Amino acid sequence: MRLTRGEKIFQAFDIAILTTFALLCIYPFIYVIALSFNDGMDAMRGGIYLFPRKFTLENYRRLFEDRRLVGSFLISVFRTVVGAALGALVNAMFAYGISKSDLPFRKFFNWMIIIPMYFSGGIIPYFLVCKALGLTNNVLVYVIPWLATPFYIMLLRISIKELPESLEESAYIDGAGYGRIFFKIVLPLCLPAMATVILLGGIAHWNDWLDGTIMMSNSRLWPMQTLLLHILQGTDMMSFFKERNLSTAGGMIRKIRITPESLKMAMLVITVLPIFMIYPFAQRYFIRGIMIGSIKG
Amino acid sequence: MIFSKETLRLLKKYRTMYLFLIPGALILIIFAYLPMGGLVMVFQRYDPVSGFLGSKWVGFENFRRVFSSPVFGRALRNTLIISGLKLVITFPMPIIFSLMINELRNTNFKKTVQTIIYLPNFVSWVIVAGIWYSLLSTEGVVNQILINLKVIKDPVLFMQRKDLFYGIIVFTELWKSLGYNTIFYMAAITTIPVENYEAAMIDGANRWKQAVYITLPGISSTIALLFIMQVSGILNAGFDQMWTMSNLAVRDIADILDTAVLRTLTSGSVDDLSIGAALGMFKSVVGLLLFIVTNWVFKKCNQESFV
Repeated sequence: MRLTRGEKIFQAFDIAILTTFALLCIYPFIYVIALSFNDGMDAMRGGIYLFPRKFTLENYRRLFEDRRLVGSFLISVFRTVVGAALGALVNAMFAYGISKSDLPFRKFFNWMIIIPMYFSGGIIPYFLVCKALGLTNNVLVYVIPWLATPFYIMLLRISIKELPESLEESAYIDGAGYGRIFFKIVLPLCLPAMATVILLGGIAHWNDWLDGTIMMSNSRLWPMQTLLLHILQGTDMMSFFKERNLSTAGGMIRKIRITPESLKMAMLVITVLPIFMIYPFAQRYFIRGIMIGSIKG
Repeated sequence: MIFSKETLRLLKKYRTMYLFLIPGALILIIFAYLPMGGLVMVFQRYDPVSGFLGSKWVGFENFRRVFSSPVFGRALRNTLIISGLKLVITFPMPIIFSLMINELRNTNFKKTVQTIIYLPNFVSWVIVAGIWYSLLSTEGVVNQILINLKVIKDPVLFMQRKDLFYGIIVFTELWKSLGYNTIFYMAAITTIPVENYEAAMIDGANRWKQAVYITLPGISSTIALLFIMQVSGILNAGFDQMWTMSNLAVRDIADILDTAVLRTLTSGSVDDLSIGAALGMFKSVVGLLLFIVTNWVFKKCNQESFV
């Protein structure tokens, strides 16, 4: 198709704006990565844009020497893997339960997931309930309350409803119980939806910082995001440095090359890395989840 | 017998089904419904030792204290200002961007742009705050470039300046969510029949006219829906963003309802718990009412204009 002159100008303008915004979206990450691989003292002079000027792995080496940081990383990994997988299973079971249109009390269970989508008791009663159950300063608080998510249940129910009724009915007539049907037929056929829920749940788990902030007075139980937030806001830098032995005279020699800033950058990169690693593969699942969410709304 | 024969037959048939429902139902009852019940504490002077059942009842005392406190007035005002700014500035942008992306001819380029602009949405606000604090710091790239271009002489303390704070909040919100929000409109655009465009082309409509007279009306119901959702969430000014990006220097203008609630929880003062819960309840109740009203309005309009 031929373009008029006006359309050609528009095309050029269009491409320019979108390219600029796309670069703006990706550049900050590149900047932080470059800083994290740069000598801390040198970085203070400024002027680093794309690549590290004085390359060093020292920032990362220091972080991985820190027991608390490694502990936080493991807590984040634990809640992400276990929380997302178990959550997907519990949500799928609930979704399968309410997928039968002639199930007695189905309406009751339906309302059970609809109400929390629009109203909640709020953070303070929630905290008090968790405290009463002994879940404060307990890593189980990262997993258990997250196991049932109304939105994921809706998403899985849509996908289960799409399965041909006859498939299940014939298995039922052949003598398979619903447990068997669920694990042998429904789950395998709903794998794309399960993948969506596991990924979205995994991202939510990995990104959560609030649970650590409100539930854990013991900072050794913080996930990465909470620890990072405290370090970024400067409320935790002192203890971080005391542990690093940087504030003492003996630490002065090491301090020459590392600064609070350079350590922050390395920690940012470690925290964002998992998202960057799975993003290219998982993108279509994110989009799918968002689309189904928008249909519901 | 209270159940009919048919119901009993189904109950028997589906007995294992209820086992599937139990884990999810238990979690929801404990962690979603119990806290709702716990809201009785807003009518109490909550005392952790006596619990919900033993604490002293004070009627609407807590609400009186919330509404008369300066923190509430300030938080409500800031919430409305920040939400309003986001409504006016960040709401239209994804619509414009999705129209612009739709005009791209090269599919590979289009896909690449989309993939990149969705990305910031999937990192947490903690990360976003960390990244932008660094970019805007005195030795950060933004100051460096502005100095090199001779726009400014000395580095600007961006994050400490009250006059720049809302600008930064709106900008980072756009940076994080613009791409993600285009997804909804891109999805709506794909549902517009190709014949509409073909017919318009035969009638001599250029790309601009097609965008204005076909694409835009085609996504108008999506625009209306998202607008109404944003209006009903006017008391949500962005909790994660405000908690992670604010600092003491801008506390006066950055404190919103949600952060005020969390502060009562993290302050460690037990006296404040009931007050904080009352503040939180005010927010959820108003939010729910707004949702019901706007939803009702939307349904009314929808019937008149689309059916």
